[in-house]
Amino acid sequence: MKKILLAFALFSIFNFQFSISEAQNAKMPQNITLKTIDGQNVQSSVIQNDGKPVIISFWATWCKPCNRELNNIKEVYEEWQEETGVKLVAISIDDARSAARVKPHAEGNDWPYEIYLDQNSDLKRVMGVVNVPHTFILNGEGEIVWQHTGYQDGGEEEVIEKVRELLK
Amino acid sequence: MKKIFIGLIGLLGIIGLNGCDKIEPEEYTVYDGAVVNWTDITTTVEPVQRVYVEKYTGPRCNNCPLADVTLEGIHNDKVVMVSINHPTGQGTPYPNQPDMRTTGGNEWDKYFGINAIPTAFINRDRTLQFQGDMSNIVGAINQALTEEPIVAIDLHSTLENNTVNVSAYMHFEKDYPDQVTLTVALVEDSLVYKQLLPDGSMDENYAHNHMLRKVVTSYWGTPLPIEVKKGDGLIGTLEFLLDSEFVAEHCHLVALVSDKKSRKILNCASCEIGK
Amino acid sequence: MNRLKLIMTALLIGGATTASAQGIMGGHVTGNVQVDGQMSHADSTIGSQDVPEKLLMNARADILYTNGDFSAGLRFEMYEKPLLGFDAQYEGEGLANYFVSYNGERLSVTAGNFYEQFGSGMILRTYEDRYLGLDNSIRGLNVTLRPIDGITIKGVIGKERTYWFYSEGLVRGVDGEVNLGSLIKSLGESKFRVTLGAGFVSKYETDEVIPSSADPEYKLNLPLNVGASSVRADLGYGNWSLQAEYAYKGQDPNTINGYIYRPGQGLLLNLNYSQRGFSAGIQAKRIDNMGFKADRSQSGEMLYINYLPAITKNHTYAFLSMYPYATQVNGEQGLQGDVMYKFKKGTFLGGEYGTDLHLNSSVVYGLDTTVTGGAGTDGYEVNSGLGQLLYGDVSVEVAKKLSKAVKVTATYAYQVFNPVVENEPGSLHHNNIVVADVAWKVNKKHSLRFEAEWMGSDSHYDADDPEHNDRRAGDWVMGLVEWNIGTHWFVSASDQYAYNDGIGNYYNLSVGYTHGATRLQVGYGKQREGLLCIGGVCRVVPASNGLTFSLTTSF
Repeated sequence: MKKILLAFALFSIFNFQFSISEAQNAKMPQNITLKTIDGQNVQSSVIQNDGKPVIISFWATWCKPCNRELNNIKEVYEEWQEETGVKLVAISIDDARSAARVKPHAEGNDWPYEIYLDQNSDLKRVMGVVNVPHTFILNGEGEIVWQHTGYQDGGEEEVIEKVRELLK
Repeated sequence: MKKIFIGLIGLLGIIGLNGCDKIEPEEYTVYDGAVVNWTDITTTVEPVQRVYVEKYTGPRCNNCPLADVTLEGIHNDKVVMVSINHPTGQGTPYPNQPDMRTTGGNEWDKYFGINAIPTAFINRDRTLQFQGDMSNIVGAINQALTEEPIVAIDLHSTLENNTVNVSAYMHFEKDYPDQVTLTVALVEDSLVYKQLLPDGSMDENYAHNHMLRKVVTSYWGTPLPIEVKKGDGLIGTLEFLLDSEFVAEHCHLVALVSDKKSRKILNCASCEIGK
Repeated sequence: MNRLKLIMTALLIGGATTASAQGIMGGHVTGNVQVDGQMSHADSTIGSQDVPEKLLMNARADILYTNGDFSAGLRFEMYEKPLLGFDAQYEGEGLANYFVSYNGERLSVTAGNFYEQFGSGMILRTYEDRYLGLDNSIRGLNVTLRPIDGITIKGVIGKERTYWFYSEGLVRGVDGEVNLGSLIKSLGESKFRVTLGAGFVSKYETDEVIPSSADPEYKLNLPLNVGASSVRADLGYGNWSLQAEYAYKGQDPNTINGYIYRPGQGLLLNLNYSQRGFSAGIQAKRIDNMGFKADRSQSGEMLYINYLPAITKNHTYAFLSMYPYATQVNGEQGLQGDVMYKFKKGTFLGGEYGTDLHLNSSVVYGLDTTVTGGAGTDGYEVNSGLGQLLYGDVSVEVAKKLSKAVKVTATYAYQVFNPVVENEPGSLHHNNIVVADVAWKVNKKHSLRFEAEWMGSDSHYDADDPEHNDRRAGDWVMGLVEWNIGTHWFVSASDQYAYNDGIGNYYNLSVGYTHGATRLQVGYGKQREGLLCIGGVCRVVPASNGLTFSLTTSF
């Protein structure tokens, strides 16, 4: 009996999850305080791209797959921008242990992204992120239209595909 | 702009000054209760075995009045009762009602891990613990009264202005191998405040008796300065100020002689203030 | 009873996900659900235990309703029974957290459970780590005011969560931060960046009886209000940045420091230089008696008001994180240095695709103290020298892309570990660790990753004293193969083996499926405790032997 119920619980998650994953368009939260890499407080409403799509990637300096993702996207980022006008915003969830390393880490890796710090995971929590990396795509209105957890080599292809679909 | 700055600094300053207690090194530790002075005596004390009933209660506890009825029914001069207001839950006072919780009572409550009330102990013996239904306690009290006393106690006090002088005469009838302590506590009768009744109704004017108001010595008692041998006798004397909120005519003193380690009560005594 | 709980969980999770599809009254429902299960059986070699319940399960659902600037959230948690490594006090289920919140441009107010941080967190940080089972959220009121651009003022009041209960102590705090560049136009246009901040936190707790160590007839005269304050600066000039924070905690006799009255102090400094393709940084930290809890009598990891992270690098390779350093809240002093350099494409060392070099080193010592007394005294005096060595490591990581499809990362590390940091006896370990990590993108759909690790140690298992073997390192080898199929599936197999210490194999097989923000992972094998990164996600796992599964979804 227990097992059946457990199975039902799991099934219900999958069932609903798959049926809704692209049906709703919640807006990206506007008034969560983030820090710029220069230590200044800003509101999450700064994350926008003049009506063009935005990719939001949650990452951390210690997270290897996150670094692979951001390094791999770097290789194609210029092409992406020219083609679609998309902007990638990388939100670091590093806490006090490594937050001071975020700027050097990003510059040392020569990342061309807009980077913010979410030191106490406020935005991460509001956006329902469980593990990093976790990637969102916002449409021109700032609505969340797609999200994905984890990164596997080549995963960036799927991201840009979704951005292209938005522009159709 | 400047106003906001000044306001912010002011706010931080106010909280900063008030939010932190500073204790000087000589005050890091404080004596845990009134100082007891000891004098040896040779006179004997009438060896009466009494029984100590410690009851945990609370104004929001609908079954507590039932325990009161049972215990009042067997109350006599050989039964020394102390009621302790449980610190949380059903012990929480009703709004605008007197708060009967005491630091000493909270410590005792915490030590015994009281998680439901009413709970009563006989002589602080964990094997003689009664919870909820008190119908078995009568037999256990009578049983405890049949024991031979290890120590005989006679308690007296005087009241001058607001100062209470307490003298506890002790005479040991037997050897006792472990360290022994003396605890003196103040209890008050006829305290009238709200009490929930078994039928769920509220008695606005319930008279609460034997309520613990203050542990005068340190909470677990002051150790006697002797290794106890049969025939030893001594007086412990101490003094304290009676708080103005206590009605002297309704107050009793309770003396407990207990095993320091197990905290079991060897014998006890009670007297009205000034007698 | 259990059945009822399961039905409730199922309905709650199902209901939440359904609701999210529709949106309520123009608002939106978002959130996440996580279910972790574990079937573990006893294995004395790795210290795993039989689970009488057969199946251990942690489940939680965070549900957030947002409508414009208004939001409300709740979290359902269930631990029946808690997974291995989680405190037994978590057992049970119910509505663990809830809040309502208004987030305007100039004002934010949250009533209910909230997470907040002042500065780096040295005097206040409430946060949660679901894999460690930590949640010290405050239930109360949190107000943030941004009167003008560049100024942030925060205020908090409430009680801290501990498992299913809340602290005795009441936590109150205010914090202010000013970004001078936003206020002074000429500064904002210059190369200087200046942000200053200050915070104050006070905890109130009722009195209790704690006997003095010198004389049990005396009890401690406890401060009922314990205050902590900090000042901080975040400065930048061109490529340079300096972050500094100093914290002071008033008298706070508590279980962690042995009820001493010595005030606490903490200092954190970060100096960094960075430019495109190069960065270097140094971090220094010194803390002295900074354990600050909402309940003075509680030990353990819960109920901390402040946050004192380890100064060492957060390593993620299995052997590098086998003996991680843990902060010594009663006293430590340490340094960390970090250098990253990118050899450019086309240079001798850069080759066709460039080469990344990453150097890191940290060292942590205790404080050199002279003990002056126990509970009810100032405790100790600090001398100017170093105390005992607690931890040290040096690591060199080289990452190089060999071709368009193959990337190799090689790491060497040397580590010194003092078991004292885990409150265990024993002498220093000296470990040498080598890691080779090869990622091969076979074609558009398939990619493979191979990882080989070796660790050689001067600390070995002792058959006569098995109880402390978890604090002995041993000589280890490890191999891992990970196969990613598209962006949906991955399969991985790994084995760790202590070849000189005869304690068997830690093998592990995992299969994972990801669809959008939903991820299911099933694993079978023996798992050491540590930080594990497989298939693109990092998490902390406890010791187990058997089947595990984990489902996470965000919606």
